[in-house]
Amino acid sequence: MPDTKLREHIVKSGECIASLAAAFGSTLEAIWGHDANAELRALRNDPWVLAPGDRVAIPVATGGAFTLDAGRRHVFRRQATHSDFQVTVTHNGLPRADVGFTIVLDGDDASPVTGVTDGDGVIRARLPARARRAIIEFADGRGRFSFVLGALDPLDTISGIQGRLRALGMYFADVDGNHGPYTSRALRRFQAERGLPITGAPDDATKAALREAYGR
Amino acid sequence: MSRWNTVRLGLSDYLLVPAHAVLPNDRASVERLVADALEDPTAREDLASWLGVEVTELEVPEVRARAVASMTSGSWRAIEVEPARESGRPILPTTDPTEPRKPDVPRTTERTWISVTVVDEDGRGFAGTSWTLTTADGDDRTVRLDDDSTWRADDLVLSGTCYLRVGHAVPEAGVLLAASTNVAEHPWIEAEPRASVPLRTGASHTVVVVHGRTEIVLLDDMGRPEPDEWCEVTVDARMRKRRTDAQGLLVVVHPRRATSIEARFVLLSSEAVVLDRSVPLATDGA
Repeated sequence: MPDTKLREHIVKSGECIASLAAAFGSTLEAIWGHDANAELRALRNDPWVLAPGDRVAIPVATGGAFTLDAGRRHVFRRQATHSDFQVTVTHNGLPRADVGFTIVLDGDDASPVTGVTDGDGVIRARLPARARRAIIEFADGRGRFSFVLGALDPLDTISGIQGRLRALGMYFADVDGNHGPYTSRALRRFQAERGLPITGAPDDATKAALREAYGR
Repeated sequence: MSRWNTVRLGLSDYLLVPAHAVLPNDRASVERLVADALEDPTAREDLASWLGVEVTELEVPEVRARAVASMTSGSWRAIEVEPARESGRPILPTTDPTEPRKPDVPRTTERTWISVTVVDEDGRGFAGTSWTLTTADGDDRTVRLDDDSTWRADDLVLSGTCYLRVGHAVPEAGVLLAASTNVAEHPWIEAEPRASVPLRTGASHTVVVVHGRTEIVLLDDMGRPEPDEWCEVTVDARMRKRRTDAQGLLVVVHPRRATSIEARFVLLSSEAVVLDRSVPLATDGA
């Protein structure tokens, strides 16, 4: 039976459709694909990129009823409780391959995730969709990185540009939405690497290159 | 008015009570006390007030565990201030200094009674079998059911709550389900199998033994347990709402005649949870 009731949620910093789905007992597809969110889809075009203040219609969970045979063990799977997480780790431009890592998470889902980087220095993990912050520590003791999860503002905002530049290893200050000297410096570095006019300003060509480099 | 008296000793007033009025704080005794309180609406309110939680939160295992831990640790002790009654709030001891002091009243020589009938879900009795009843004052008595599958005692010293336990010599005994003078009024399902049931003195009880058991497990999309998720379970048109435990498990006890049950995770949308697999239980509770 389809859910019919809706609740409106105003997006806060750090939220995306996946984290809202986990928090409200729904799925990314059920929320993002709902007719009531057509305007939001047209505006953002990406369920992982929302801006604070965006309004999301969330189907109110009414619970699916299951008729079960008595005298058996019935195992249910909850959907969309984890999201994919991928980071490439390099040192002086070379991948840090085959290094053990531990991802420490905040909040209730605090079980650390451990693994080893692959040959290209890539970390791939499934993290709880409700986690907001992750810290990666390496077994060789070289480096400790902190990540804000699910918090990627749209590309037409300064905070969205800062977030992408930070993820690309070019911006190291706070993602505060203020276009200051650190943001300009990072933009100039990115523009130089991409062969763009070096202006330090987030023009359309720079934003398009950022979208391509970051992936969204 | 309390049976016990406050006595000025030195600079402070003390409540003097005989040792038998201080309930033991071993885990079994405390768990029985808390379980008993949960059966009584008034006692539930008192318990919730003491713990500083809402009455509905008493369903949370951690809250119950906190109540038990407070008493087993000795931080709090339970003292029986009035003989047990069938209902109503306990009467607190007076501390009015103007009231004349009275000597301790000796324990009453009156006796109370209890009657227990044990049947299975089809109404068949367990005539001739032996069970165990722990009386309100902590004694264990052997309950040997007569031809009507009934046992009665008229010489119980203390009023209060007794506990009937499954007779180990009864191979067909399953899970004790109902304790009621009217079985029809008692829900046919429980989410927490219990090996004993509380029974108040001064009443006739029918205890129903059932064997049906169905398990519900909720895992996340990584295959790990999803604890504390509310689930409504309906059997024979009777509904109970319980949370999954730390292993994501919910055990439903019900009559064996039930062929199906209905489950609904109330805080999850229909798209957010799927049935992954159904497997036979290792044992069928028999």
